[in-house]
Amino acid sequence: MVACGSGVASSETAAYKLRNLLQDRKLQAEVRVVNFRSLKNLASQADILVHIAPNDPTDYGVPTVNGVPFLTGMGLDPVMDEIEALLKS
Amino acid sequence: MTDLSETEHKAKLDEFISQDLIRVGLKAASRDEAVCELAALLQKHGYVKESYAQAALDREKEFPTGLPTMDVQVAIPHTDVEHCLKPGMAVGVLAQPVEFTEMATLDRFVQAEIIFLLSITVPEDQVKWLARLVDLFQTPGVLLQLKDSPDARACRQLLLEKLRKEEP
Repeated sequence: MVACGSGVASSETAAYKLRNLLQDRKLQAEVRVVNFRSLKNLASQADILVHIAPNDPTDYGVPTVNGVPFLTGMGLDPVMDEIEALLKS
Repeated sequence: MTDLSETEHKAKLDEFISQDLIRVGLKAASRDEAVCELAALLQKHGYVKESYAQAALDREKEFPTGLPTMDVQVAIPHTDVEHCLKPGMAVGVLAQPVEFTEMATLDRFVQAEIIFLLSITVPEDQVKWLARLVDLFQTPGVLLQLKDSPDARACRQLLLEKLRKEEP
């Protein structure tokens, strides 16, 4: 589950990138985009939360990774490694 | 993405990156001023509603969009679809950088030299272009080349070329 402010551009783009990278790594996962306002209600349905919003103090009870590298390309491999490890755990 | 013929797709991309929406050497004293200038272009050409500028500024404060990209730092401000009328992207190549807060933080900053102000109406339809825009951010040298565009026409040509690229 990928979340950002309005679920319009940043998260949609990060999700698109994530889907391609998951495919490259032959990993199976459903990627869903949500906006931040609906996250409280939906987070419990996720196995991993890819987060693109600042200073969110909420503990959703779900492993969370930073989604910005999907947009900048910088630090992307470690994030994908983290997601791969979480998916396999 | 909705199934479109190649011609339709090209026409849509031509409208998404219109020369009317590009300013090279844009002078702005602050982030808000730069966003307002570019939002005025989007509004003037019928891409967004009057409410867009304020909505984009408000969203920027809560969910910043500065990106610490390599070579040249950028920002991709945008807001909810309800303020947008048709898909488009205003581009400001700034005379002097302005400070944006880095995405997903409130306490890190980037000195943005190019601003891409997005009007997104159907995210699933426009995401391929956004993904290619992001690819462009990640390709060494391209942002530098954009920053050095002599005029809006050259800037647009380069963007069209990069966003038109076929899927690998």
